[in-house]
Amino acid sequence: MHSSKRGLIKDMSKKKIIIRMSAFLALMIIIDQICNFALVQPGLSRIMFHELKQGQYNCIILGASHGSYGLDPEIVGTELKKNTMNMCMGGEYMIDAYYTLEYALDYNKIDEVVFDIDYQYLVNYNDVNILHNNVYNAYPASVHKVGYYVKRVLGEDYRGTMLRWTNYWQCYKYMGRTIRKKLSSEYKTYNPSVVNMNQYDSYMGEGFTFRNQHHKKDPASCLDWNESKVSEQEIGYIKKLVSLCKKKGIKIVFTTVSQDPATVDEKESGFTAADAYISKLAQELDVTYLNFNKIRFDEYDRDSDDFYDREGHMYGESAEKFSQLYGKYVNMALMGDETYKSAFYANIGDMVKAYKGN
Amino acid sequence: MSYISAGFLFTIALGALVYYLFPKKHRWLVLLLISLLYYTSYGFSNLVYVLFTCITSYIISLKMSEMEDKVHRKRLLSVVLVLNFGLLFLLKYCNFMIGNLNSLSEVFGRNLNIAKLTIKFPLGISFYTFQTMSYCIDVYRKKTEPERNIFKLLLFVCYLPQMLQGPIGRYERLGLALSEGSDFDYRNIERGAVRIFYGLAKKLILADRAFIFANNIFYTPDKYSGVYIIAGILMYSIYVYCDFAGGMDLVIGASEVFGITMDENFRQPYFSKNLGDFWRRWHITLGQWMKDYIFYPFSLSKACQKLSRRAKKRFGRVYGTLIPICLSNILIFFIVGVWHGASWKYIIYGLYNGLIIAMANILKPTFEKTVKLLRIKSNSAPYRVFQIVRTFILVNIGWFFDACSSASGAFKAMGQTFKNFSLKVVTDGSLLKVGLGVREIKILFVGVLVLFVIGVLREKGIDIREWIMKQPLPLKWAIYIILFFIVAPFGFVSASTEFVYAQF
Repeated sequence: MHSSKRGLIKDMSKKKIIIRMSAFLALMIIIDQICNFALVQPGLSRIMFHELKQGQYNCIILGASHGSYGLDPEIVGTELKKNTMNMCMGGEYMIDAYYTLEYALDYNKIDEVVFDIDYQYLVNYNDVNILHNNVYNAYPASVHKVGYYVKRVLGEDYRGTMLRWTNYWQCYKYMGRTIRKKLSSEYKTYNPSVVNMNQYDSYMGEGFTFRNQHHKKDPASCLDWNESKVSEQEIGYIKKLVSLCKKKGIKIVFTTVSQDPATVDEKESGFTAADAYISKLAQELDVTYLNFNKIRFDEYDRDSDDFYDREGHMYGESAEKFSQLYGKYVNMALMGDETYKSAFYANIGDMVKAYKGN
Repeated sequence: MSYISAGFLFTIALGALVYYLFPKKHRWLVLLLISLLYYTSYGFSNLVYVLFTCITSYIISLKMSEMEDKVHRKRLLSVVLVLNFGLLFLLKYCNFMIGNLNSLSEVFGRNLNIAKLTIKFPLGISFYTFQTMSYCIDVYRKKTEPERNIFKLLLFVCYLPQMLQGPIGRYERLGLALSEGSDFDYRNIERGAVRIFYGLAKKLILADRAFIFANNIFYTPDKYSGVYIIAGILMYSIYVYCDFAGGMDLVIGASEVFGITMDENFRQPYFSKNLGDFWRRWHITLGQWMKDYIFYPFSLSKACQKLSRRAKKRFGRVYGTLIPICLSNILIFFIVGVWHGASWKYIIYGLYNGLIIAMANILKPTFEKTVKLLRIKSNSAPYRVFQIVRTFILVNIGWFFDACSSASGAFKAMGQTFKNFSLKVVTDGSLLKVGLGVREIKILFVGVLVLFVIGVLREKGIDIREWIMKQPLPLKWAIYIILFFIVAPFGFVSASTEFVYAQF
C-alpha cells in the first residue's frame, strides 16, 4: 500500500515534469512563430512558387539573379512556343534548382528545362550562410521539402531552421507594417505589391523583374573563377537535375546569360576557364551549352550601359531585347538545329577581341 | 554536421527522447546507434578508422588482462600503441615528414621529390586515439578491468558529443557511465540545455566575431603593425578560447542531457597565475593525459632517476630534483605541440611553453627570494592581478604561432608589433576598418564583459547556472527564453559552422 502510494506520487511528478517541459517547448515555438510572422519580410520567391503551382507551364527556366533580371519568360516562351516560367532567383544554387524542378514537376507538365548556370554559384557554395537562402525559405511545404531540408539545411547553422527571423531581426522597426501586410488580402492572394522592392524594380510576373535605367550603376563585380573551389555537391546536383530530366523525357539545355562585356574582358582568363569547365561538363552529360557571353556583337550589340552592375545584371530594356535572341537560339539548340553555332564566337578570347575592336 | 547545426541539436533532442524511453540497461545501445549515425554523416571512411582503433584495443586489452607476466603484457601494449599511434602518425604527420625530407634533399642538391599521401584525414582521430590508448594503458596497469562487450567499447571510442573535439575521457569514469546508463532526471536536461546555449553564445556571439578581426590581421600580417597586431592577437585569444570552450560547453551540455557527466576541459584559463597554472586550466583533459601517461613514466624512469642523482651531485639537491622535471615538461610540451598539428609552428609553440615552464621551475627560488626582498605580499590582490596579466601576455605571445600560417610568419608578426606603434589608431577609428564595425565591437565588448563576470563568479565558487535553476519557475523560464532568443540575432552570421579543434 505504502509503496504503491509512493509510486503514484512518482508517476504524478513525472507527469507534471512532462507537462511542464511540453509547455515550455510550446511557448518557445509560439514565440519563434510570432517573431517569424512579425519580422520575416514577404519576398518574390513565395509569389513565384505560387505561380508555378498554378500548373500552366511546360517550360521552366532555372538559375540565379542574372536570369531573373535578364530573361522575360513571355518573350522567351514566344520563341520556344511554350508557356514558360522563369524560376531564376537570386541565391539559387544547383541544389535549390534541383528541388525547384521537383516541385514544378508535381504541378506542371514540363517538357523543356533551360538551366542558366552562373559560374559564381559553383565556386562560392561553401562561403554563404544558410540564413540567406530565400529559395529554401520560400519553398512551399511538400514531400520534397523533407528531402530538401535534410540535404540543404540539416547540417547548417541551426538558426536557418529554428530561428528563421534571425536574418531579418533588424526589421523590427517595420514590425507593424510587416504584420499589417501579412494580414492583408493582397498577401493572401500572392499580390506582388506586398513585396518591398527596390524603387527601380517592377515585378512583371512569371519570375521576371524589370529594372529601369534610373538605377545607378552598382560597382559590384563578379567573383573570380577558381576550379579548386568548385563544390562537388553542386556538380552532383547538376548531374542529378540532368538525369531527372532524362528520366522524365524532358529536353534540357544549359545556358549562361550575357554579362557586361567589360567585366568579361577584365576577367577574361576566369571566364575562359569557367566556360571550358561548364562546356566539358555539358559534353559529359550530353547536354547543349549556350554561353551567351560568346554571342556575336552583330547578333546582340551590348556594352556596359546595358547592365546595372559590373557583375552583369541587365536593365529591363536590354533584357527584353536579349530575351528574344535567347529564346531563338535556345529553341534551335533544343530542336537539334546546330546552325545556332554561327551566332557565337568560338571562345571567350575571340569575343574579347571583338569587344576591344568595337 | 557541425555542433551548431540543426542536425546536431535534433540528434541530441530526439536521441534523448529515445534514450529515456528504453530500459536503463539497454540505453547504451541508443547512444551507440546515434553516435555511429552521426559520425557516418561525415562519410563512411571515417568509421573504418574508428573500428580499427576499437577492434585492436578490444582484442589486446582482453589478452593483456589474461596475462600475469608484466613483460608479455608490455609487449602487447607496445603492439596496440604502435598500431594506433602509428596510424595517427601516418595520417597526420607523414606528409609533414615527406615535405621536410623533400626540402632537406633540395638543400643537399638531391631532389628526392617523394609523393605525398592523399588520404582523407579522419575526423577527431587525435581525440579518440588518445582516449582509447589511455584505456589500453589502464588495462595494462590493471587500473581498470577490460570491457568484454566490444560494442560498449565502441561506444566509449565514438560517443557522439565528444568524438570530434574531446574532452579526452577516461574509461573508469566515462566508459562505465556510458555502459550503466542513467536515470531520467529533468534537471539534467535543463542543466544540459542551458550549457548548450551558453556554448552557442560563446561560439556565435564572441568567437565568430573575433575571428573576422584576427583573421584579417594575420592573413596579411605584412599590411599591419603596432597596435593593429596587438588588437589582432587579443581578438585571437578571444576567438580561440570562445571557440574551443564554447564547443566544450556544447559537448558537455549535450552529454548532460543524457545524464552522462564528462570531464571538464576548461577552468577560467585566462585567470591563471603562471603558465603552468594556465595548462592546468586549458584543455585540462589533454594536460591530465600527458601528466599520467608521459610525465610520470618519463620522470620516474630509470634513466631520469640516474640523471637526477648525477645532477644532485653536481648542482645540489634543489636543481638536481628539478632537472628531470624540466626535461619532462619540455618533452610533454613538444608532444603537445606535435599533437596540435603537423607543422613547425606548432612544434615551436609547444617548445615555447615547455621552456618557459621549465625556466619558471628553475628560477622559482630566485623569484620567491625577490618577492620577499621587495616585501610584496604574494597573496595580495594587486600581486595576483600582476601575475594574471603577466601570464596573459605570455599566453598571447604563444598564440602568434597558432594564429599565423607559419613559424616565420609568427616571428615576423611579433616583430611588426614594435613598428609604427601609435595609439592614435584606437581613437581615430582606424581599428574599425579591419572587418568589424562599431556595432560588432560593442557586442563583442559587452559579451567579453559578461564572460569576465561569469568567470570571476566561478572563481569564487558561484555557479550561475545552478543559481538560475533555483529561481521561481516564471523567472527561470523568462531567463531561459531570453537566453535562447538573444543568441540568434546577436550571434555572428558566417558561412563556416566548424570549430577550430574539430580538425584535430
